[in-house]
Order: sequence, then C-alpha cells, then structure tokens
Amino acid sequence: MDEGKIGNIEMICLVVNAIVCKAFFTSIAAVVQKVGTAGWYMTIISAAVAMGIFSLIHMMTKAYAGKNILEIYDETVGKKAGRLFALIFCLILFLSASITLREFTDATNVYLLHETPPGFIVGMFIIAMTVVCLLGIEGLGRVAKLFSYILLFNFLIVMILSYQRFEAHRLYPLLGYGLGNTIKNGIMRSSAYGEIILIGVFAKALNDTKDAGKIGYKSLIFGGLTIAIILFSVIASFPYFIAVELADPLYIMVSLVQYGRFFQRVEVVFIFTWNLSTLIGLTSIFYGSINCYCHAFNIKDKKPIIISFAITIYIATLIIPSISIILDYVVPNLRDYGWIGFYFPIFIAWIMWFFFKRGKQTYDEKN
Amino acid sequence: MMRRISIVFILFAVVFLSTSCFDAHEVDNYAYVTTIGIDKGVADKWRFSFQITNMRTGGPKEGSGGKEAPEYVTITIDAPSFFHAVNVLDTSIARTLNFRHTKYIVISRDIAEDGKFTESLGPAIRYREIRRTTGVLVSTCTAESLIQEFNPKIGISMARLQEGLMEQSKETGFFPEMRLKDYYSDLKSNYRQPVAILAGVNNFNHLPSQQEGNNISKKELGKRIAGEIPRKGGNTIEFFGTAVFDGDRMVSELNGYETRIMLILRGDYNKGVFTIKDPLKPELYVSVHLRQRTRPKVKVEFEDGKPTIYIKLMLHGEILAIQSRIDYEETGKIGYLETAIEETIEKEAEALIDKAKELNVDFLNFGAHVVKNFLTIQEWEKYNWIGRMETVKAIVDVDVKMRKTGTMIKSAPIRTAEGEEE
Repeated sequence: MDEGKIGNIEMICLVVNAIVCKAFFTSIAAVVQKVGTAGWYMTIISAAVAMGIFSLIHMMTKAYAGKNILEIYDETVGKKAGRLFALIFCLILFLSASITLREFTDATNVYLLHETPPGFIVGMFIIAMTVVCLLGIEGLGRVAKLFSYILLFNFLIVMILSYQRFEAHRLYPLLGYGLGNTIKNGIMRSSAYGEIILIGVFAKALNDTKDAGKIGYKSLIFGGLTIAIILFSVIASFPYFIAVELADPLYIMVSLVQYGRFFQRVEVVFIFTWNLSTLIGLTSIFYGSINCYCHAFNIKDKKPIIISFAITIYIATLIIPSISIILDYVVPNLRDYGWIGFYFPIFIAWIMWFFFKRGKQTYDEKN
Repeated sequence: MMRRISIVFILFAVVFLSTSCFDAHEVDNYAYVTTIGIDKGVADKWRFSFQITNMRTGGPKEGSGGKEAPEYVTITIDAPSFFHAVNVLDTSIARTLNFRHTKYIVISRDIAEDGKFTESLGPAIRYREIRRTTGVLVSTCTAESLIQEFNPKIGISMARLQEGLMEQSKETGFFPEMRLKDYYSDLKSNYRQPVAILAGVNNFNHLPSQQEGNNISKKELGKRIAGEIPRKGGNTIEFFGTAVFDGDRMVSELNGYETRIMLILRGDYNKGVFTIKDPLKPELYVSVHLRQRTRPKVKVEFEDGKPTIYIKLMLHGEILAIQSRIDYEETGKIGYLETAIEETIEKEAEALIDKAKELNVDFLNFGAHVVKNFLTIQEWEKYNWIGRMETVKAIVDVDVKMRKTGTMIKSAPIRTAEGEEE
C-alpha cells in the first residue's frame, strides 16, 4: 500500500493534535487533583521529560537514516524483540485511542447529545477515522494541516475570550501540593506526551527521516505550550477545589464567556475545535497502532487490518460500563503508568544501540 | 475504482446516519424556565417556583376570554427534591421544563438563614442545563412572591428586564453581580466566603404621603435594603444590598452603601454615583460619579502570625452636581472635595471591615491577597484563613482624583432683585 509522503508541518499538526486532544476531557481535573495550582507548569516538566525520551528516538533515527523506529528496533534488539516492542507500541496506542474516544463519547453525551446512545457516537466517530485511515497517511496529514490552522485560531479566540474570568489569586499557592510532588507527577505523567512516538512510527512518511528530530521537538514545544495554556486558563478560572469537581473544565470555562447580552454561549465554537482536534488526533493514534501491528506481523496490506481494528476499538471503547470506572481506574493508570509502554521499548533499544551497535556503525562508516 | 466507490458509499452512509435523530427536539417541546425559586415547603420539604416563558407560536398572545396572556407563567410545587418537582411538573404542562435560559435562582431568606441552599437547590448545579452564569438572589420576601412580581411593568420584554437588572450592578454598585459559579465556588472556598444579591418586592408603602410629612423618621436612601426603597411606580422588584454568608448560612446583610464599599474593596466596583455632604457647606450635597481606577493595591504582612493588610483604593470621579454652586472645579478648591470623598470612603471602608471582623466572615476577598504569602496548598489549608478574619488588622488608604467636571467649568452666581447671591 503506497502511503505517500507528508510534509514536516503536516506531521507536526498530526502529532500535536494527538497529544493535545486529551486535554479537552477529564485529564485537566485529574492534573489539578494531583498537583493543585501547580498543574500549569507540571505539564511543562512532563513535556521536558518527553523531550528527553524523544532525543533517544532522534539519536536512533539519525543513526539509521531512512528507517522508522519499528525497523530500528529490529536492527537494535533483533527481529523477535523488535516485534514485541512493536506490539507494545501497538497496544499502548490502541489503549490511548480507545480511552480518549470513550472520554470524548461521555463528554459528548453529557453536554451535547444527551439521548444518543454511546454506541452510535462511537460508531460514527470510528467510521470517520476508518475513512481517513483508508486514505492513508498522506490524506491524514493533509486533513490535519488544513484544519489545524482553523483549530489554532478557534483555540486562541476562546482562550482570549475566557480571560475575563481569570483571577490571579487562583494560581496561588504557587507550588500547589509541593515542588517535589509536582516534579514527581510531572515525570510520571510524561506519558501524556507519549504520542510523540508517532513521529518514529511515521518517520518513513517524511521526505527525510533526519527531519524527525526537529519535528519532534517542535511538536513537543507546541503541544506542551498548548496544554500549559489550557491548564493555566482552567486554574485561573476555577479555584483548585472546584476544578477537580468538573468532568470537563475546559468546556465549562468556555461556557462562562459572557460579554454583554449578545455575546455569550460561545461554547459552540469550542465544540468545533474539540470535535475536529479529537478526530485528527485519534485517527493518527489509531493509524499509528495499525502501523505497529502490521510491522510486527509483516503485513503489507493494511486495509483488512483497518477494518478489524475499527471493530476492535469500537468494542474496547464501549466495554467499560461507566464513566466512574474510567475516571477512577482507567485514565489515572494510563496516565501514571503509560510511560512504561511508551518509553520502555525506546529506552531498551537505545541502550542496545548505544552500547552494542554504535561502535560497529562507526567502524563500518570509517571503513 | 472500488476504493472510490466504497469511500463515496461510506460518506453517504455517514450523511444519512448523522442526522442527530436521537437528540432532535423542536423548540416548542420545551417550556423554558427563566427563574427558579426555593422556599420552605408545606405539603413537602421544599417549595419550588418556576417562572416559565409563555411561548405562543405566532399571533397575539391572547389568553382565554380575549384577555392578553401574560409573557410568563409562574408554577409552584411542593416536592422533596428539585428534580422530582421538575419531573412531576412535566406531567401537567405537556412540555419538558428546560433550564438553558434560566437567568436567576432565588433563595428565600429563611432558607438562606438556615443554610439549606446546598441541600435544596445547590446539587442542581451538576445538571447540564443550568448555566453557571445564572444570577443568585436572596429574596427578602418569599421566593414565590418575588418570582410572581419578577416581570416588567415598564415596556420592555421579560428577558430585557432580567438581563438589564443584573447589568445595573456595574452601573450603580448597589448590589454585587453574583453568578452561580462564584456563589457555588465561594461556598467551598478557602479564599473568601459567599455573598448574594439581596432582592425584594417593593409594595410602595415605604414612600410616605405628603400628609405624613415630618412625622416619618428619615433614613438615608443608600442605607436601605431591597424592598425598602421609598418610591412608587415602575417595577415592583428591586435588587439592593447584599446577603452575606458564612459557608451556606446567611449571617448578615449589607445595605446599598455598604455593598458599594464591599465592591470597591473587592475590586469588583465599576462606577456609581456618590452623594456626600458639601465640605464647605455641610447642609448641602455634592454628587459625583466615581469609578474605580484600578483594582485595589493590597500588601499583606504578618506580625505574630496575624495578618496586617494595607489596602490602597484608587478612584477617579466626575462632578455631577454641586448644590452650593461653590467652584470646586478650581484647582485650589478641588482638593476639599477629593479629601471629603476620601475621608467618607475610608470611614465607610473601616466600618465595613469592622463588620466583617465582627462576623468573622471574609466577604471582602482579603483571602485572595493573604494566600500569596503561602507556598503550598498544605500550608494554606492548615492556616485555615476562613475563620481568621477577626484577627485581621486592615489599613485603608483612599486616593480620589476628580478628573472631570461635567459640562461646566465654573458656576456663575444667581442674581435676584436683591442683588448677587454669595
């Protein structure tokens, strides 16, 4: 299946949407619960940690030019372990997509479509994801870039409009539940930026795999800033003890925008951003998961896999009976321990490359 | 080719499946509630009142017998809980009550004083239809009677009246602009305690007749609360003053003047008219339009664990009327006026701070400044600001600058047959 190539900006748009779309749902309240008023800079710590991990991917993609991270695994840890690592990536991306999709469904059910069955919302969403996936990475990249400018504009507009509700004192006490706690959670929750591995997975779709480094850093900076702005706005809009109560603080924050009698109820603008960004983000995560699976089993034709993955994600999204289980167990565990799935394979592969393959590569280059 | 056909087929399927049929509702499926009221119940625990917009689909709003139907309908029901009441009412009005356009929640004074809001109506904030921008009122009468009177007597629409009333907070400062989101968050806050708008029905019996004359004891206009304004005509409903809460229990009320000072101290004051005694002719008055220049500059210092709060209030004003016609516009005299206003506000601010200390309730938003001295939430929560208001020492400094003199720069004397007035 010839997937074509995508540009650097298109890749940035894909990855940033994949990282940021989670922030539209319950994750914000969870961050405030963990670190209180320090949430807005905790996420910058998380982004910095993710950047450190990404630098390992960067080193390896530079060393193995023209290969994606999955092929690099095969080179560094061998075919069997490489296949295992690809499956770990597949699983964690699949989980991330299905959990975020479930959060999206519940939020849509609460705020917009109260009587629509969750299965219908999930089904519609998955049909859209499947159509885009069938068009391949090129179609996905183009769509991501086309809409990202509009999304960015909408996002900035709603943030600026929400400024009227900001109160500086809500950012105090500045250290939240303590600096140590903030750093610890910042490191643990770096999995919020775990979707950065998509750059490694889609590296071959770039015109030059050597660009992966700068794309990754830019995506992390941009994604980190966006999430930090969201957290900052929510914390400045709601006291920390109220922010933890809200199922979707960002949506409620936007619904408070009111400038006189005529300019109010602007959450419809936000809903557009919320839906489209989630669609782009989740499709790229979903497609990344399919790529990993196909690589693990050396499958060339992705089409049948896309359909079967679509059915599987539909079931996985709906299998959890209630939002309480998602909020109490699923999302916290994915955010706290997701880094194992996202970063562990990278770390092992990097160690293998650094200590056992790098010297040989240098020797080969010299001779 | 097959790929294209499949994509087109899928897109068509999406179009037909995405018609929102599950959530499709016509506008007239709903009865839109504009105001919700809560009183103590008789037949059941609570008495809920709902003011509903009368939506006729075109043509004149005629009721039975050719009479013009009112723009709104008030329905009252006794029920054990809010949503139970709503569900039961749906059976009698043939529509579903909808709260997307609710503008106010009215709590009766006895509910507020018993601290029963969080039990009765508070949990409804969870409901998606209730917007957090809804205004919160405490009625000096029953919520039911307030809602019945909450309609325009002057030729404006109901929606205009309800939105317009809230906007007057910014124009006058006689009541706070209190939304549900702030009220609810202040109930749980460790920064400050809640306040609500004091609303009442004026039955116009506070305006003495000419015959009653001097027998009536005079009370300053701004020292009254809602429902007590000596006036006649117009809307019977009025917002004036503030209900002060300790947690969810109403513990005091502030009159119009106190409310303005509270707003100035909180930094929420926009503008309003202040009428003070003429500094050079105290039997006459000067009216000025005062605006808050910037939010108060507040510095907090701790001495022996007790906070000393230094507050600098900065206002600027415009002269509206000088009854004595003394030329306060002149640079040599404007200082008299500025100092008089500064002294008045300073005195009133100190009295209000004393009242807050006496009640041991921070309705002045001092906690928002005190918190800046704490690094972690644990330290802040351990300090427990709520309940420490009585330990505060506050020093208020007011700076008033008269920037404008209105359309006049001087008052020429009045001339009579006996000569020129002084």
